[in-house]
Amino acid sequence: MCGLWINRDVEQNAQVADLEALCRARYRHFLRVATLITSDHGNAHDAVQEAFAATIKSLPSFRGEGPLEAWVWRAVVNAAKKQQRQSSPAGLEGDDGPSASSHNGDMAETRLVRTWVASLPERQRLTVYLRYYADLDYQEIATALDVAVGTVSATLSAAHRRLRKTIEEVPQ
Amino acid sequence: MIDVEPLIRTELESLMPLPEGSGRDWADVLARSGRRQRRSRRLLVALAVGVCILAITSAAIAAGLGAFSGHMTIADVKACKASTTALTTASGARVLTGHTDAGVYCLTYENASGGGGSTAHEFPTPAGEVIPMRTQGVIVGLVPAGYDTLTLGSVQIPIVNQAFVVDPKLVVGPGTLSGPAGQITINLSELAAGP
Repeated sequence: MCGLWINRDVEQNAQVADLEALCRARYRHFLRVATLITSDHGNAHDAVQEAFAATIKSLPSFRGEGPLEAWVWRAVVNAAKKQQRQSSPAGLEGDDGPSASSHNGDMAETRLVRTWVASLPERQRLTVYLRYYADLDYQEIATALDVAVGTVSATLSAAHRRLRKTIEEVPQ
Repeated sequence: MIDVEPLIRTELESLMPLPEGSGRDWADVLARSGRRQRRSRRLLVALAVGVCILAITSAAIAAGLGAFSGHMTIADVKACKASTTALTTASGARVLTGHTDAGVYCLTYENASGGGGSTAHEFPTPAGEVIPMRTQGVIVGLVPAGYDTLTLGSVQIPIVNQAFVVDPKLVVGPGTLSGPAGQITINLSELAAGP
């Protein structure tokens, strides 16, 4: 009994160490996506830290289904969406997408991509964020958004189609 | 078909570069999770467990080495299996000798009315090649094999089955153990001077 308790404790400490390494290595990536979701840097910090804290608290129930990072991403996305809902009840649909450094020297491509992101429905936009800002593979995105891998693939394809259409509509 | 991925990667990166983070972030996470406090609590629990282990170990060592001058630990008393009656005095008191579970010599004295005491030790003790104990107004001792007489001043006390019983008043200085094993000096003065 005692041995089992110690083993579980050691295992959880190892997972906390993994989380710490992940936090130190990828904090800015989590923060970037959280900022995009919440549209507020302070709220994004809160969301990321709350997400890591919640993950630590729920480690006893983590059974290793999927990578730990994807699990954290799910917590970050949920925490950021919660923050966003609290500060702007309209939801993510009202989000204009990334625009932090796009005002000076806006190129045509930049404007086009920004418009494209802003036009995406919430799920497609989150999928795009996780794919291109977080560099997650389809399986990790599926875990993070709690959807099937096929859904991730279809969602990204739809987002790409929309961008292609936007590009084609731009006058030469 | 246009491959839009390179365009997306490049433009998204320029739209939203990585923000600044700080080394404080993980500390803040720990504070939010309450992990640091739990670590401290666990440290205290670990410390308490360590103290307990130390106490138990110390008791075991004390039991192993025995206590000098009849001051027994509970472990000594429980461990002493003095099953052999070494000698019986004229007043009916018995001296029993044996070993503890740890292989340490132990000595028990029982007077006719049931009073007495025990001790456990290894040779030598501060008194020399004797395991002495003061109890019930007498000094009882266990000596190595090969000695049959204890000489205190001009008085000779017989050693029976490696054990002797002597009146503390007879101890006026160092004594001598003698027998086939030769002669060695022991010193019961400190014990005799005690209460």
